[in-house]
Amino acid sequence: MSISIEDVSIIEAIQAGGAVRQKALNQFIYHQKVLAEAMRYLQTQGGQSFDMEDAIQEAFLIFDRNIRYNTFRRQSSLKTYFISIVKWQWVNRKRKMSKEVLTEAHEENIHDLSTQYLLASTEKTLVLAGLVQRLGDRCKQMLTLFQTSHSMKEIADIMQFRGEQVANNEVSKCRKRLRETIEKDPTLLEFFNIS
Amino acid sequence: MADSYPIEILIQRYLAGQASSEEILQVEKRLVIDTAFKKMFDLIKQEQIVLESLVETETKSYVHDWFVSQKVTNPKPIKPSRWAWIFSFTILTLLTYLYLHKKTEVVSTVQPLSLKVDSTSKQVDTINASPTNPKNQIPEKNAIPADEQLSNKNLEDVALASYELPLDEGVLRGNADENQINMFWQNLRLKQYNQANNQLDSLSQISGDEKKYLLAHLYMGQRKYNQALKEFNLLKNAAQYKDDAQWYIILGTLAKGKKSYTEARTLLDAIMLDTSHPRREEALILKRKLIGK
Repeated sequence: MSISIEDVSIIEAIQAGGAVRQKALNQFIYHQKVLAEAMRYLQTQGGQSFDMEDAIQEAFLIFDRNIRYNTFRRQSSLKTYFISIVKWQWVNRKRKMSKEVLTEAHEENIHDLSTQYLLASTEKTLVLAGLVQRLGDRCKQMLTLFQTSHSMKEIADIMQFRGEQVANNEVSKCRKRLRETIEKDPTLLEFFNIS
Repeated sequence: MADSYPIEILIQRYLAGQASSEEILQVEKRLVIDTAFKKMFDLIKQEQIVLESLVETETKSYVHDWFVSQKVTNPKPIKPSRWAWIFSFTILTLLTYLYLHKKTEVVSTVQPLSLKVDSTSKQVDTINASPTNPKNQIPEKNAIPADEQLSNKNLEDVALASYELPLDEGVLRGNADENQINMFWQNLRLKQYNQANNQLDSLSQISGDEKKYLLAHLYMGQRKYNQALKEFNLLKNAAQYKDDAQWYIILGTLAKGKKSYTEARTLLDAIMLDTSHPRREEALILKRKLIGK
């Protein structure tokens, strides 16, 4: 199945980052109604509302990341791809709960999905949240914009800086602060396994 | 070539899976022999994990917002609490008592009449027993509606639960304000009101009505209901915004608490009576929440 022009523009917008990424993700959610379809599927599988939101959020993270890092092989429509991630995510959740073994056939279908982030433990999530909190709200916002590929001009506009150069300097300062925080805290060093 | 990139960029390319096979070999070789490089590699890797965790939070908010919008459109039926059952039972008992009490009064009033005017007794009886007779009507003050049990805080909570930002991000305007407006909504969703306010100030090509609309939502977000209502009231006759403005006026009025509750209910009833109003369904849901049915 070939990928549609609309899907191609969504992929390009997500990869470009910044405000166009936001618009593309919203278009994908609201115009293509993918979340509604994902929820219908999970309802047929006996999903409860809290569980469903969690599973769809995780699936959406993988979807977004795989598009951004260009690991989506464009062999199906974006909608089909997203729904397959949701299904895989749901099977995995169920497997974790019931200790079932994921079949090889199923694993083969989702081999291009990133799994490393799904394995993050609660402890890791807490450490990351604590670390980010130490950076302060402005730094946190700036680094989020930076990581979602907002241009320095966009960052300058959003953060109300005088220009792109100022934005660049501020982002650099925040990244430096982040690295120093990781380096200086022995608990974090141990946690991140840095010698 | 690996050397064509600074070490930091090379590591980032490697971690993102964008490095060439030659670069991969170089990075993996240096990881074994170069301690300083290994340290730098670990640090950048951990930095990437932290930065990705920030993106994750942002990405999750898209799904969360969608779920919130679904809950508003398709709310779960409200299950009455144990206290609601006790309250309903008490009210029912009270009403039954009042009804029987009044009926006794009617009978005692009618009996002497029937003795005096026998031929018209049935007519008098009918008149006295008629529900239109003020004597037989249970005074409204005795019927305590469930919505009167709501406190100021509850009313604000109910109003805010029904309040949802309009889905405006997808609109292509083709002018300089497009990005600013998208960012305004994004900031509003993230509760970054100062930045949203600054973005509002920087808009130059939008209409006065749209600016009022955005400002009203900013005030709603900040829970400055009086100011929000002032702006929404200015839009009551604006063709593009009047329906939305009517709805948000109800929510703003309700959020102010008990003192303006009656006003909010009147406005709510007005929308419910208008079968073509685009917010009628939401109004029905809100009313059900308020009266606890």
